[in-house]
Amino acid sequence: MKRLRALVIILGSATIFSLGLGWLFSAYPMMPLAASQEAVRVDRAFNGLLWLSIPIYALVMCSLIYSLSAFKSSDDKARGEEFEHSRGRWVEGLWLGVSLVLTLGLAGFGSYELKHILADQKHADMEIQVNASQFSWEFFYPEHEAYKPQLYLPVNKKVRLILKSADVLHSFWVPEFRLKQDVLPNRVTQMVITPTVKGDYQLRCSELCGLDHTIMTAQVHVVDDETYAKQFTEGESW
Amino acid sequence: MNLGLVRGIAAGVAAFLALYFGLKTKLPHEGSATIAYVVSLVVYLAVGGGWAAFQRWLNGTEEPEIHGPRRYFDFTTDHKVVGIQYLCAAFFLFFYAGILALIMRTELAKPGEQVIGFQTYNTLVGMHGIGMVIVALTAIIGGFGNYFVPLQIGAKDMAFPRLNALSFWLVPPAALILIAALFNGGVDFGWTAYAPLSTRGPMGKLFFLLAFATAGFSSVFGAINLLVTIIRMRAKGLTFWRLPIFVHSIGASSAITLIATSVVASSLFLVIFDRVLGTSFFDATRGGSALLYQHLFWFYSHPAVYIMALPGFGLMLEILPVFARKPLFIYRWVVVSFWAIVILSCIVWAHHLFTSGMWALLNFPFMITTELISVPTGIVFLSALGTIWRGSIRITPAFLFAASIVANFMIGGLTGIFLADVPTDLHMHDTLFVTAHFHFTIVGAAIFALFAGFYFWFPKFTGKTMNAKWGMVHFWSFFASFNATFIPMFWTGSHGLRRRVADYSVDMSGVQMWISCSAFFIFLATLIFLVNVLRSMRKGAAAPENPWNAGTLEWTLPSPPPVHNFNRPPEVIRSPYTRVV
Repeated sequence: MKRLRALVIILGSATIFSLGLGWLFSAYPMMPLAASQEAVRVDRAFNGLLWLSIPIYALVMCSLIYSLSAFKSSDDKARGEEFEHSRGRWVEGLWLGVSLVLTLGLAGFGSYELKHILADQKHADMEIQVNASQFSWEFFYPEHEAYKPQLYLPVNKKVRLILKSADVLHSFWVPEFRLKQDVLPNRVTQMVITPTVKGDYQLRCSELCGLDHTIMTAQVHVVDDETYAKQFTEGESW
Repeated sequence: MNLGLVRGIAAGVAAFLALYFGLKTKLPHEGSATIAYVVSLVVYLAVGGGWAAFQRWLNGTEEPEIHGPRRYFDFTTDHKVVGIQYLCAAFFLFFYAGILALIMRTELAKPGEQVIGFQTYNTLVGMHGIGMVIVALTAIIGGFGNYFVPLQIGAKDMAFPRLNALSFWLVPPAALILIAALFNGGVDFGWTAYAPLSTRGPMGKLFFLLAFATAGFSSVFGAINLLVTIIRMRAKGLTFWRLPIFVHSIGASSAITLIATSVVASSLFLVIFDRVLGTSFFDATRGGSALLYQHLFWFYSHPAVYIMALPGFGLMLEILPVFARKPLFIYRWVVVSFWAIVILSCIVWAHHLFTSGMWALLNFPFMITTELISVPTGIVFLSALGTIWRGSIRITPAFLFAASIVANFMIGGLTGIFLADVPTDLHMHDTLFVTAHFHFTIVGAAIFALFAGFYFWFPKFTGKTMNAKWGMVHFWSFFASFNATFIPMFWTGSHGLRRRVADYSVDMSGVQMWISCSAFFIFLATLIFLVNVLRSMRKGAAAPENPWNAGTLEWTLPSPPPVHNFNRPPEVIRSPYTRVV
């Protein structure tokens, strides 16, 4: 009876705790605006992990807190119940089995999403070159043979970004697009992005690159096709 | 003052300055600084007492017994003295790196530039990082490991007492040259020193690399010593399955140190060669590789987090049974898990490189191995939960610090899954989310365990009782302010705040102010601890011989233990956990 009561208390409080955390994360989402197709995939992976982590966290915390309150004793001579392993050794076996299955399941889920992200990177509608150097970004648009200090992206077009660095490591990251790719000095890296929401975003160098790393940012404008074309026809931009 | 340490440092600094200014007229500055550092290291060791100890060894004379506080400043081979030296050095570095963090948090309290510029900020990031890494690597292993491993296995001393002294003595010069780096242009590459950024720039970077390499040597010497001690010096009857769990954790983490540290040393040396000898291992403009450094670096530095965490786990599991008054739950499973962590930790490093541009297919195996490591880690925490289950728990500061490791590491471990998963890591990598994650794992396991161990063993060190009421105040204030500081960082990180930046957009100013204030409360909580230690050392009541009724061998000795530990070699007939005395 005592054991059953403990189990009910722990499971019940863990359920309430999970629901509370679930409400918290729905009311205050952990992720910023998702402004690209790739972001949807990343967010799905994030939410999958989040909904799985919440009950695990709640269960462990509730049994920890329950133990601290239920088995507290002020008697210095009193001794706890002496067992070195669970009866029939089922707790440790179950724990090992469940954690193995969960872990491999998570790895499978992650591999599945990653496979699709990588497959999405194979084809693109257009290319833009990104040149990083301490501490600025420069964008070359091959179709228009134009350099610009800001990144213009036509909405709903799959764009391949060809990333090059002139000096040290940098990293290309627009939080609203989610994906991140380091920029290396001696080899070309690339990423494919499909912006879906028109607006202005900020590109941030996210690999520590020296003195002015903090302000190594650039404006990113996701615009419709017309506005995009206009950038290259209306006189010299710089 | 004729103290070995003072004498050695004075001679070392003098040798460094003389050589550096003498050579720099003929050689490049960095070359002369490197030569001057290596030579002055030898001079410091020799003058500080190393030569005398070496002579005693050659002549076959006994080590003299030094008494009183001055032995803590001498080249001493007593493992208990070396342990205290390590602990003091670690707490000194802990405060130093902590204050650097407070300066950063002051700058970050409001958007825009407050008190320091970008260059100072970058330097503080790197110095805080490497300082705390050295604390987490040395405090428990060097401090408690040296003091208590020989006692817990019934040995007179470590297997190689002189090597033990040497491994501690390499820490002060590493700390000194690290501080010197502050005044020589600083560093702008965090604590990871990624090439090619680290192959160019001011001399402070060279000093940083030399300090890191020195600490690495110290770490390897310590690991060899602890492993040999555990394998060869055990008391009669103390079989593998009767070893205290703390000894197992020190053995496992020493094995990782031995496997991995030489790799990071090689990467540091190659960077130093690039700077000093004009080689081009990493300098891309001259044909070097930009990715090689990251592989070499993380081949050590990911296992290194388990070098920090395993002794924390071991201490947690050593302390919980004592205060829950019952045997350790699934002891053998935990030991096997420790060794599974040792093996797995060496094949996960490239999860730091998911965004680096390495071959995309490599992402899959490293994602899987990284997530697998949560299985043995989970067993460790099942053991903690099972140990307090149906116990008779005495709530003390030591117990609370140990039990809260479960709470901290749940957050640290679960958020680790988000970073091990490639799709989410592509977003979270190099953000404050990562910073929050590793503070929950490293502070949450290693530093909480350090405090737990300190409350647990204080009566053993000093023979006095530590004030428990202030200990509770310390615990609750530290635990609360620690969580208040780092939980919001998960949110700021996923919302676009990068790591290692000195400024941010205005919409985050509220939460940033909150984090900065909480960080100052961490400092206050640590001050409470410091004052409590100093007061209890002077005024604490005499402690009973075995105040917690623990079952391990160190509690069979008087407190503090005599110089040669055991009068007669002890004989062990049972595991410390099968029956709590």
